[in-house]
Amino acid sequence: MELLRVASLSLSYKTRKGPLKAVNNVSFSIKKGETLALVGESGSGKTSTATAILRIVPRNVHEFKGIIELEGVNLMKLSEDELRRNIRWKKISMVFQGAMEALNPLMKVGDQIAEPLIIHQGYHKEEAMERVKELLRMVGLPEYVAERYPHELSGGMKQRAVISMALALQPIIVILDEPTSALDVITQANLMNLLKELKWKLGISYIFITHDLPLASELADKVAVMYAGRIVEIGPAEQIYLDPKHPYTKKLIFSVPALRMERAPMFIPGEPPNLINPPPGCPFSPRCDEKIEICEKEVPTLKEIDPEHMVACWLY
Amino acid sequence: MVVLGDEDMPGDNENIILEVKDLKMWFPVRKGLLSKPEYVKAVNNVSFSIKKGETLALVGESGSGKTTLGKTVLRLYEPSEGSIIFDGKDISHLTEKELRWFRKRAQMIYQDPYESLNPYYKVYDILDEVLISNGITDKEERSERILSVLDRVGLTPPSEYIKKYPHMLSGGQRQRVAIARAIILNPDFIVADEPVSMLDASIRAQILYLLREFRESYGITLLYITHDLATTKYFSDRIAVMYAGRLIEVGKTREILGNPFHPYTQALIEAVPDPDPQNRLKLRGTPPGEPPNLINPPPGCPFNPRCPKKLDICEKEVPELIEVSPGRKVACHLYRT
Repeated sequence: MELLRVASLSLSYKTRKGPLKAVNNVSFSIKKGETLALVGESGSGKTSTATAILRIVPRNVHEFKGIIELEGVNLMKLSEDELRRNIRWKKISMVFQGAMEALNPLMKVGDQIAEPLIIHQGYHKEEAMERVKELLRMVGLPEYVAERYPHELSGGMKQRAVISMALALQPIIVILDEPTSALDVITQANLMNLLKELKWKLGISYIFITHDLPLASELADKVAVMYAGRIVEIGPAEQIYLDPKHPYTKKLIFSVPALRMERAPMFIPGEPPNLINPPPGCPFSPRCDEKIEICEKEVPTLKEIDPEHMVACWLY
Repeated sequence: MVVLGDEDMPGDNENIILEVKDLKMWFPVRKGLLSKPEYVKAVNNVSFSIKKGETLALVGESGSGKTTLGKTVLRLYEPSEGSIIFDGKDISHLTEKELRWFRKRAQMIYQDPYESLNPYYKVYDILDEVLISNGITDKEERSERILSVLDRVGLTPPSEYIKKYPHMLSGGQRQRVAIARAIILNPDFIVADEPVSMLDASIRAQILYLLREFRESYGITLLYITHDLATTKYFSDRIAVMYAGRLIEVGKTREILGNPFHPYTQALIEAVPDPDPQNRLKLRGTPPGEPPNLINPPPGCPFNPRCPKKLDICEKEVPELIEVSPGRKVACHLYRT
């Protein structure tokens, strides 16, 4: 059975210039232990999709609709209170982009990890500190880190501490929003190693948000490529990386210089469209060199071309 | 043992545009009023040279000193020790007035196009300011040069962009304006500090191709500062790897990427994923830990606490950057002859 099923999810924001469609009719599903990478450029709707799943949307929401089903329960039907008590952080947690810079500088790291355990779970202080040590070990940090302040830790250590917080209540899905974006390459590689080990050991599912396709391949069993608020292609990692179908996916994969493969990076001319007044038809059509007449008129929907591999493109 | 000297064959000196010798850029930090000053050794004993028309990639992690090195060779800082020789002239300690000729010939492109452009200036005025402050008084000439440079960086038609403010442009367009500003005086040398790291993947290659085109058609020499090894493969001739303020390996791009000598360079390459679905099935063999702090780096080789191949001597002596094959240098005790 699917662990998480998202269907026809749409989220738009009110702006002075009119509604901005950040997430447009997005559907995907994740099985237990499976990692989905949400890949796309900035403004493509990756983070909005994640915050919609946790329903931590900003105040200027214009429209928010669709189905978000976790283990068969439609989260959209739950009250804010039910969601907070039973789902958020307990079933689905999130490592926000830049979270390591949002640690409280005046509070010891251990106390910050323990705080939600004490407040929301009713742990006693000592019990909580035991759990903190366990969590620190789990993310490869020595116990003394609990007694340190954030500024005494390196970037890699802070990010591990943030991940331990997301794991504190044993969630089944962890959303990772660009979890390594401010880290150096070797630190990033070590952190990806940790995330892999946690995935293998605990059987958690990740929703891994990144603009970096090579990095996504470190975790992704399945990849969804987003463009202008829509999923334009989704499928098993093997198919997306080795046999991409959508012209945008192809270009995106070939626009990254590869270190071990011989191919000069291509580039995509132009820039992503404005989400308030998107072009008619396929949002990628103004930049697409394979476009046909219909592309400028009608938005293509996702079609299954291989088992579990879907593409939204008029060429298929 | 060949101690570091000139990068190139003897007699090839006229082709060298920039030569840096034993450069140190140390910043004093005081912990208390009466305590002895300590130093952040951001650039420590660095020597290298760049040939005319060449692109040298300066690769390193954050805090390795690569940005400081770039700014020091542009004389945005005055070096603590050592010398910077640009086109045969020692510019290490010239005053701002004496540097005026150099400022026209050497330019910088910054990492963040959101912060490096004045938000209150229109694109036209951003570029006009550079021309005015360099003594170009003829208004028509300035206007011509501004329109032509915008055309060269691909902001076409230029008339559409001159009236825009930076916030009306996308990241890629802003970086094109920053590049236009850097090339409008026809410089010989540009330091590009992570010019694409803030841009989206689909835009990055566009900007790098643009920089490469300037190198090819105008012979501009480029110091390309980056943490992204994969881009160096296509956009640089040589690589210099920096760690904790020191250069630890220098050589031709293909040679370094294909056969890295220094254990740190090896680790850097190992850490970079290619878009390959097999990646998720295996762990990477990267060393633990993070780079040392630059106030009190470990004794000996700065990489020794993380090095999987360290010897006794590595904890005691700083290895010198020595030539191990023509044009290839490495600072590692494993390669002592």
